[in-house]
Amino acid sequence: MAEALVKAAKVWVAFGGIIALKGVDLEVRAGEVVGLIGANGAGKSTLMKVLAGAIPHGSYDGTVFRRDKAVAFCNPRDAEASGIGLVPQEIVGVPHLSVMENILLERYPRKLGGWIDWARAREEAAAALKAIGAAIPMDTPFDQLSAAAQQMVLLARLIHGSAEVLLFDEPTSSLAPPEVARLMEVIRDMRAAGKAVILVTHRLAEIFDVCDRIQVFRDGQSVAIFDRDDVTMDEVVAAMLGRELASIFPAKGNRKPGRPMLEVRCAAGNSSGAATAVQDVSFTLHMGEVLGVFGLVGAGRTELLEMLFGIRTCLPGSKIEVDGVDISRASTRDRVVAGLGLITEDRKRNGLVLEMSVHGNLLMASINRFAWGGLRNKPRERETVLDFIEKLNIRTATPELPVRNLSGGNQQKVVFGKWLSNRPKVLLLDEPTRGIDVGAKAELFRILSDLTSEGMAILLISSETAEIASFCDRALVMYRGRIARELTGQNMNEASLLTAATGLAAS
Amino acid sequence: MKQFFRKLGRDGGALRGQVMLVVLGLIWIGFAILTDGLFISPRNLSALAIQGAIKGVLAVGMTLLLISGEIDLSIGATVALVGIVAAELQVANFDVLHTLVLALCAGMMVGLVQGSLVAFAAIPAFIVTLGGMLIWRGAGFVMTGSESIGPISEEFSMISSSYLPIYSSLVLLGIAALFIFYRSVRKRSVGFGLLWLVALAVVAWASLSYRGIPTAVLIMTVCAVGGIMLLENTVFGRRVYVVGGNPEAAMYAGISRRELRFFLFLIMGAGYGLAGAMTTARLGGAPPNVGIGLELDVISACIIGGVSLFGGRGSIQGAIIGVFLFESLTNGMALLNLNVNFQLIVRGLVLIAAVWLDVLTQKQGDARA
Repeated sequence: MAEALVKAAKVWVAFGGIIALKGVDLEVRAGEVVGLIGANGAGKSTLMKVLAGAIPHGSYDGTVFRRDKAVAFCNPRDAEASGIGLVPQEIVGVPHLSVMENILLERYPRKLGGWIDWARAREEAAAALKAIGAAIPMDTPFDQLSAAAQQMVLLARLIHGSAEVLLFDEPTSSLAPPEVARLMEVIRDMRAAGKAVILVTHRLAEIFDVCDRIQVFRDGQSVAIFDRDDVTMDEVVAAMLGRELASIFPAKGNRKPGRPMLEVRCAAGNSSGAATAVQDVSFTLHMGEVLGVFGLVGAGRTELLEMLFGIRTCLPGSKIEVDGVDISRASTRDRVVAGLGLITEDRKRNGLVLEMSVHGNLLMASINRFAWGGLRNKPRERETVLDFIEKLNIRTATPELPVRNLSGGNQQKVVFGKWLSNRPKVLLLDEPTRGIDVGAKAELFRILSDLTSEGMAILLISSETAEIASFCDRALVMYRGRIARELTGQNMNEASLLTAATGLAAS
Repeated sequence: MKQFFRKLGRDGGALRGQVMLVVLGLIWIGFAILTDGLFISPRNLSALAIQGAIKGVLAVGMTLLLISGEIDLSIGATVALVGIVAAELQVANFDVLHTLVLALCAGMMVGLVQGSLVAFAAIPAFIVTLGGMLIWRGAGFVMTGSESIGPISEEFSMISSSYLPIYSSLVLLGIAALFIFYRSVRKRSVGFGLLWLVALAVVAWASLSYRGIPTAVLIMTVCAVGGIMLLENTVFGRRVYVVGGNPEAAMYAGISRRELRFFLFLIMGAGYGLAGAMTTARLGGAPPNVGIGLELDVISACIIGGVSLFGGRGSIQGAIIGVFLFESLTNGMALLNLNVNFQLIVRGLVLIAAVWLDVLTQKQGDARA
């Protein structure tokens, strides 16, 4: 049996108050491809960063072994020197430098006196590209390459550095199918060359295509390790799901959807042709209904939201209507006036001004309503703010406290309040419960439930199958920019959501 | 139209450099016509070259800083201060060599202070050099009691006013021609070689018809060549591009941004030293109010020459062309007896136009969500 080229033992990683990895073990041998699979946030990328030195020694508990010797990487360069290389999810190349230089960064061959030997540099870069079979012209500036080519360059860099262990973090999320196939071929070549490869992905098809062993992650733990030949896709899916707390979600009750509130008929929302673009999406959302949109990284959900909100343009021929009003060509502001509200994924970046008070943030989008010819109406403002704080149960000492000081869950409530003060007809939610504790989650869902009974139409984008299955009336599953399936009633369960999202089920 | 600008930004800016050279030629022709040939008289071109040489020296250091994503707003003040130091040394009868060396040291000390603040105290360079602009200027006034320091020895003023003998000038021009030939063979580009040879021919004609290559220009050329060798052929130089182009990639590659910044400011400090000495030599003394606004002119010149304000792109060759383009404009406007204040307006417009060009030639940002 080939020796373990890299091993991780009992790795614990915590960011702030959140534990990303809880005592995880991992082992990869020469000539082997291990696939790490799990839902978003399960800890796979974090483990890769630990192995590759991007999370430095000292920031984690546990040990990393390289050929059975414990190592302590302070930065990715240490890891590279030790033969471990990472192709990160976000491509890190120097945009204006050539392909050749990106391959050789910091490892230039030198002449007498320390000057760079450019002739030899070309040779070495060419050799690295040849080793992975990539025919990329060496003088092209890095930022002019396609995403797939950029990845190949990063991989060539690792090969040039004699990496024995190759880590790929979600490499296919921005690749088109033929490029994915090419990458799988390259991984097979690497395996044949005796390297150890770890492939992190959420796409079952890829895992089963190229991996020898499959390690399943859930909630920061490694919950199962399978030999590929001994397991079925269903078993892997089951391991990914585990059990969830059942009582977070309020009873659905009798939701009777009313008239159509949001009609979307969108054709190809992105002209750059990237594989993650929204390709073709059509659906109708009714008053008082909760429609879920499920999909994994790269499926196009965020892009869909951006299109609905006017941050990204639809091609002509598309139509978006809110309560009968055509907003396809309207500005974002006009869409808000027409009745759209958006609660985003990254509340710090998109939703809140952290230095501003709870009062200021709550009224950010609606302060005009209380103004009189441009002057503020402070008594009315105060009244409204207190009302919100009570209704949403926002825990803050005073409304003047900067939002920065609130907990994640309460911050998210402020974001809710901000949009609700405009009384939107259609509320779009993008991963609203990310990074929020269970208690606050439950409260949020209670609020949403109340809103639907008041007639609001809700579009909920989430990557948590439990949320979609337990709270939504219908679910659209996105895969590669299209709606792969629509699920309702009994068919809308966690397993079927996941299966559809990984592209396995027939439409 | 957009395509044209995008194309300009490609292939590392070499095309940009050639375009700028052509633009320079056009400007020269324009002014020559407007001034009835006075502009392109060898004597005027010599004066132009000497004026530009000082900015050229500064542009070398500034280019390195800009590529790495930093900026230096204190140049005017530091050059004035170092100039004062040089003048004081001259008044105290130090010889040329010692004056030069000490001026260089003074400049590097200023660079060290600013560099430490930027690199180790993590204060943004914009602020450190903005403060420096005031501090060093004030120090200069305090040191001199608001009077000009002088006189300087005649040998010292030769730094900026002397010329290489015709014979030596010829030799140097010959070497330059060979070098251009060699480079164009390496690049396999006839257009490149031709363009630069034409430029060299003009330089040759201008200098040989007058008194030879000015010493100041030689000093600038040595600095520029040194800077180019550093940028293009050393690991340190490549790091400048990485840190400016993608700081995250620099982190992954294990490059210490702090160290890099510190050394770049130190190099700039040497630039202050040299430029300060050259300025005092040229003026025959050191008025404490020299060089106000110099930093903006140097930055404009660099940006005209293709160095991006956003970091990661540019070359010293381009910056030097930018300096002479800028200097030609000022010189031409003076020859036309344009109101000095009008020239201010033009300088401001050129700066904005240069940055606009910079923005237009940036590739579109990654649209991937």
